[in-house]
Amino acid sequence: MDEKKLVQEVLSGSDAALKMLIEKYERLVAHMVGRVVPVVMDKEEICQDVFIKVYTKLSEFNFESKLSTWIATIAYRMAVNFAKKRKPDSVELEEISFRVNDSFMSPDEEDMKRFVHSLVGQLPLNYRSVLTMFYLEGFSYPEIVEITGMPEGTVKNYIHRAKHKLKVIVSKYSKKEIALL
Amino acid sequence: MKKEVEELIEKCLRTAPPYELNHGFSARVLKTIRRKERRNQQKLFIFVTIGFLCMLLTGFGLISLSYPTLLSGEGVSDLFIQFNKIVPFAIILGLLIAGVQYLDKKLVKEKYLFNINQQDIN
Repeated sequence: MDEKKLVQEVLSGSDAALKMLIEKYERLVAHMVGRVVPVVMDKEEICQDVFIKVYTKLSEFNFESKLSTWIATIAYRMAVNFAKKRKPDSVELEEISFRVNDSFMSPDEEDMKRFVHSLVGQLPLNYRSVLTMFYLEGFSYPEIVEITGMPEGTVKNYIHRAKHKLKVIVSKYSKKEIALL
Repeated sequence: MKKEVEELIEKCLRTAPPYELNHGFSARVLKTIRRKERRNQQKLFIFVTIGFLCMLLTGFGLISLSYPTLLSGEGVSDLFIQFNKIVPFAIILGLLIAGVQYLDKKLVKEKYLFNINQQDIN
């Protein structure tokens, strides 16, 4: 079912279409919220609130952008507002001292993924959000600009700086392991 | 080495982190949305009922105060003579109607009626 038809079906009150919409975008919302909100219980609740908002605002969606971009914008804004209320994120990238788990000792690829994800989780909110949007959800720069409201230069800068920081940390802690992979 | 690290990081970043929503998430959200809708419709019904009751009681009170003979059924023709008493009554009644209209629009705007309206539009 294409976006337009799905939206029309949802607006006409179809339960099946609404369920389909939620199932289609729950991964996107979970990733957007998951990167910003640290507590598992809160994540679930915010994801639910995001879909309630999506449903109530759906009649205002005018198909100027992709539905996924529009939903990601709502998810991002709600998650950021929640995170800011809980704990204002004013830490700069340079000020972060990464906590490295001792379990990262084996040259296993899964361990490496876990390690990188744990590092990403420790980045400042804006950095981890744009990294998730760019790499995981495959949003383009203009789409990230639309979602976050940041200038394109800032988005590029965040991605570049976050990647550089990750590279430095990963290089430092995993020289031997990378050689073995 | 640097390129290897970069490629590895990019590969890891493209892999989904373990954020899993609980099983049956969509069904639960659907249930919550429908429950909220029902609650909003109930709220709307209560608001409208209270609004109409207020209008009715105020109207009745005003008529019985300013023109008691109208309710007792004596002389409707006197109504024209009592014009100066009817004008304030009409103004108050008009204000009450405007108030209810405003409330109604506010309720629609705040999505108390969102499902009903969507169905009406379609």
